[in-house]
Amino acid sequence: MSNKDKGAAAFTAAPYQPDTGWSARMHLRPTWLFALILALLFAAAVGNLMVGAAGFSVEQSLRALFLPDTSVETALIWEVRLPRVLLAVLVGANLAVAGVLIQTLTRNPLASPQTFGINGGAALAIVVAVIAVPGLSGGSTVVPAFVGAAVIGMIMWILSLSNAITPLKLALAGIALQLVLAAMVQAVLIANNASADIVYWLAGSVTTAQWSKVWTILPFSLVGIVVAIAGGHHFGLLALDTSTGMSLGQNARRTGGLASALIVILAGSSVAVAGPIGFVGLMVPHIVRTLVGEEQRTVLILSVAAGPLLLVAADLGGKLVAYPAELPVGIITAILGAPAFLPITWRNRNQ
Amino acid sequence: MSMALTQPQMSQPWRTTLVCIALGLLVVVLALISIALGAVPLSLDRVVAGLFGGPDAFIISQYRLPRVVIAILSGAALALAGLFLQVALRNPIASPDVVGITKGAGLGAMLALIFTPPAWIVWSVPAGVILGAALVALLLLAIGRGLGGGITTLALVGVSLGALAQAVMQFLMVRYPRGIDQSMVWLAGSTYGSTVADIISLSIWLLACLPAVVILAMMLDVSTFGDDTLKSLGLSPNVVRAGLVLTAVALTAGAVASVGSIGFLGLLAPHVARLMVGPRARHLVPATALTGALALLLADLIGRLVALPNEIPAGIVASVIGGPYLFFLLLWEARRRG
Repeated sequence: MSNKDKGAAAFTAAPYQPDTGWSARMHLRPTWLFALILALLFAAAVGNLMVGAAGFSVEQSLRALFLPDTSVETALIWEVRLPRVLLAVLVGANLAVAGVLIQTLTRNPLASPQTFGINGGAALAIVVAVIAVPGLSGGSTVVPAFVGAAVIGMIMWILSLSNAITPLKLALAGIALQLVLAAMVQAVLIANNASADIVYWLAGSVTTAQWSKVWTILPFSLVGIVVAIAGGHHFGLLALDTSTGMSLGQNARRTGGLASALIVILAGSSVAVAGPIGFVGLMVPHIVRTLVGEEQRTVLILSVAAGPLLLVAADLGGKLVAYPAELPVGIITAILGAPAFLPITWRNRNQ
Repeated sequence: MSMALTQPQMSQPWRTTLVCIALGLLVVVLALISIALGAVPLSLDRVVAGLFGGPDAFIISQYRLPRVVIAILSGAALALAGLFLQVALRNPIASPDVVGITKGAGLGAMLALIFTPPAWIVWSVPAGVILGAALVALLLLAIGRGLGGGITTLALVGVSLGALAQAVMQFLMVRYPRGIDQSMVWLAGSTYGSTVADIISLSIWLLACLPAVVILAMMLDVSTFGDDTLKSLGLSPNVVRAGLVLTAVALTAGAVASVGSIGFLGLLAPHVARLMVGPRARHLVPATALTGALALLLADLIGRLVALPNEIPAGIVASVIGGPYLFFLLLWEARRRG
């Protein structure tokens, strides 16, 4: 919330100026914003360490975090709460970056891993694989996740190439696809008497976080995010039409293929560890673009910080709002994100 | 409209009559099969005997018949609601679930269930269902008008309203686990656990809606000729449209109170009926109702059989079948226009 307020303040303080691209001033603002988001993220993370079945003070949490000893606090924070925060950070970053890439690649402002059914495809593949191969668990669920995400991603990407389908219509088709996939997941689960924790995973949750899950997603996050930022300018050119991109030395097919692979890796690995969390990949790119403009690499870098902030804050909200019960973080992001859908639709209504 | 003019005018009523008789027979056959199958399979003659007081009368009248009747009534109500919304919003992809009305109704029911004293529930839950459905419809119309919406915009607004209602429902389920069983039913949509009392209340509600349905069916034939024709007959198009939306909300509320939020049926049934009997409302209304009844019976039956001994809620079956239809409808429409 305060993040948004600051953004509005920044807008009024610095009136719009022509995009000179490399001026020092244009770079200053994203830098400050990045620092601000990181500070908020740290605050939200500390809040997450404090809140739980046993509440800790700020001092207790920070002491256990930075000066670990043999106390109960240290054990609880290092074994339960810290992995959960880190998992939320990684999943948030993954989904936000995947959202930026998919919106650029398909030139569709309503695109996101969720609205295009990619999360749903990964979730269905995981559920089917876990039931079909009884020994499958933990890190190996990323394999079916990638397959499911890739299949759905491929379908939606091919559809997005058609000029006859408006972005809004494609988004609606993607949502229909996602609803079908979700219904199929439910059907498979009910048909096989699935346990309650899969149902919890399905709402999108970091509650069952462990270090092993953090290690599962970490390599994919690192590779995906580093490559996305390193290639930021190339991906930005994808937003232009193909001929313009080509005249600028862009190999559209190769860049598009790389972006698709990154989306699958980022979204698939986050579904594998935390379930299909919606609306993060949709909202974060829009909020970031509203604050800093369209420059692709800036948007990517800020999303890497803003995605975690949203998810860690939402997780904290999920712990507080139903205390002592806990709400899956996916429900919080849906409650925040569903209304955010409206202004995005509004802006694109004429297409 | 041009379709209707090119078709031979005389044969149309006969065709509709035949289609409706065929659909009605299918409903009866499917209902009998549905009653016969279950944890204790019954032969068809035992089913027929049981319906008229034979030895299996208890299991049939208390468990199996209520489900079947509720499925028929709710399916018809949802299908008609879909038809009226499609006409009122001039939107082929409108239906109570796509525009979020069923989810709003489910949320209203849950709020009533959780926050009113147990003694009031008989009244408060139906009231919550109606208020929830009406609120979403109002929001949809208000936001849709503000957005100056094309058909896709309106559908996206509805989808996001539905997603919001669903998220709040999930929130309530975690926060107040007391009503969780009933809530699960409202989320997924199922005929499971229907009782004779449910049949009576749903029948009364639908009978109350019936005059509106008949009057609107007669007005709709006029309104397909455009707003000017309506005006020349002294009818305000906006009044007709408001009547359509209100009736759709009432029908949806009745269905959701009995079976929960069943998706895609209200979208699919009017389209199938239109293929069979053409676009004229007085043909379309009965055919749509019968198609809807048949569809929900079928979804219920599939859900009961496909994963024995478990039961998949009819709403999930309907989504798995109906969702791809929406997907291809959108793409087909895009190709036709592009």
